[in-house]
Amino acid sequence: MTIELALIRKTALSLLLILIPGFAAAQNGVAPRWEVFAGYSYLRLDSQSFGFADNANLNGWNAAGIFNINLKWSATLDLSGQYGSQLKTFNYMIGPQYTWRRDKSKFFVHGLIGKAQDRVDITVGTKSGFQGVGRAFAGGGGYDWDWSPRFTFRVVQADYINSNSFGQTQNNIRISTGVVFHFGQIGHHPRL
Amino acid sequence: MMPRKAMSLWLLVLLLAGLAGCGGSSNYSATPNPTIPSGSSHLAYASIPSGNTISGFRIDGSGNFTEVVGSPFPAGNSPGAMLIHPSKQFLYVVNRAENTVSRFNIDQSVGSLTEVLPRVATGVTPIAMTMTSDGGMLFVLNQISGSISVFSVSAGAGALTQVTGSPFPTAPNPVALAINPSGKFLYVVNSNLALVFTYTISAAGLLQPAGTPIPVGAGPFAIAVDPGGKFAYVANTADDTVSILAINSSTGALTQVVGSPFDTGTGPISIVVSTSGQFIYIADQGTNDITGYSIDSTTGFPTVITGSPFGINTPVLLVGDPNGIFIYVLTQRSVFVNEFSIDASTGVLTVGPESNSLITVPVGFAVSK
Repeated sequence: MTIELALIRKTALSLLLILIPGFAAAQNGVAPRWEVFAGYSYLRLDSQSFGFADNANLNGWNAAGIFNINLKWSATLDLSGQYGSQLKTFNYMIGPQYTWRRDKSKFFVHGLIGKAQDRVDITVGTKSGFQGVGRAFAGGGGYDWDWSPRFTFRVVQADYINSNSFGQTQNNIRISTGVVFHFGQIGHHPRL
Repeated sequence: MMPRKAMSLWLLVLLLAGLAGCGGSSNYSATPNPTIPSGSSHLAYASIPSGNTISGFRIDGSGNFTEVVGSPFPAGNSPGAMLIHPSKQFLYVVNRAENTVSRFNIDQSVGSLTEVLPRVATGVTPIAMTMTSDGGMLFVLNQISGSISVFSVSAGAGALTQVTGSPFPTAPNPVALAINPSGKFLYVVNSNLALVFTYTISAAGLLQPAGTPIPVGAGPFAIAVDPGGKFAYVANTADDTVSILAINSSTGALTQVVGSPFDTGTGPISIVVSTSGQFIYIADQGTNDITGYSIDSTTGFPTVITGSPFGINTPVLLVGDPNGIFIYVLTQRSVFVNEFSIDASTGVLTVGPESNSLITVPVGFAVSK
């Protein structure tokens, strides 16, 4: 966990130091009403918690639907799935998101809660596949950079995910990147 | 303030550097579900005869147990004694009620077991097992039929093939066996006769009685040989003693060390030697404790370890940790595997974590290196 936490701390600190002063100075007057994110995701799964010899590095996808209530506050539905040769894990979470916007940049943080589902593909006797399902909550954030009025590049999203499956608690780290699609508009451009 | 494009670029560089730094400083590969470097954790299994199952655990460096996914695993009829192949790939378990040995493949990553059928026939009521240190030969002690089944073990698959002439007869009602680390001598304890029999082991696995059986205390029930092959230890249940026997490294012959047998608690029933060979521990079922002795490496003379005996309720089986850090204790009534950590310099035992709760009382336990 130390390495992962150090990474999160380093990333978050870098983002805060660089972005916050600029964002605090000025925020855009417009934002899309809806945003849909889809992209690649890496998960460091705490599989030692349910008896694996080591934690697992898994690759997969992350998708999210974001409804912008106003320029700062949004509701997010976050889905992700990551895969290894014997492991599959899925997270289904929802929660509030706070965003700082300036020109083509956007920095956001969110808190999420939902379900985690871990599947271990082994065969024991006549039974194939063992599944652990439990609650999950997450905290994290990321940085987006506008490509065009319709598309944004999510440079990075990093989350700490605390889940509970197979009767044990997992401390996981997820890092995602991808593209955000925009729909609709809220706010207005400032008068010149 | 920094220009926007420059700021974005700088941010990207920072993030990529952070990600790269994470990968570089980690011991883990970035490939999905890597094969495990064993690290400080190891696998352990407990046999549960009442449920015909085997429970699996991962034990970390601090001795904490985590039950592995899929546990408990289905096993044969009344699984008992078990051992893990030195390669850590296979688990062998005797099925006492069906007179067979089961072989399980161990998934090193998950810790799960997959039995490889068919099971291999033994003599009647297999109760104990031992293996050569290279994992090439397996010996099964058959209590009711009074014999030893010997199997060669294939290097890649761990498959068992009974050697020519097996099973080899012993005196009636043998109860325990131990192999010399050289792989040349096998010792079998007979409880009724209060004798230890020595056998020579040929390269092909043939057993030949060697010399005269050595008398020990009354009701011997367990035997262990130290990793250096210098001494054998026998727990004498009926007279509350431990016999310490010096081993002739050439002939395998046993000789009582001066003063043997030595006192233990009441009803010594199991014995284990530390990986250093410096300490022995004896489970005293009657007095609910573990007697610990420090052993003089030259004379074999024992000295009671400070703090001994160490209390535990009705211990029946001691199993040594191949890594030398812990000893594991099965008791007559507990549905947990109990653990003690060993002080490497003094031999003092300290109570450690216990396992997750099992379905019912386990009778066999095996730990991988």
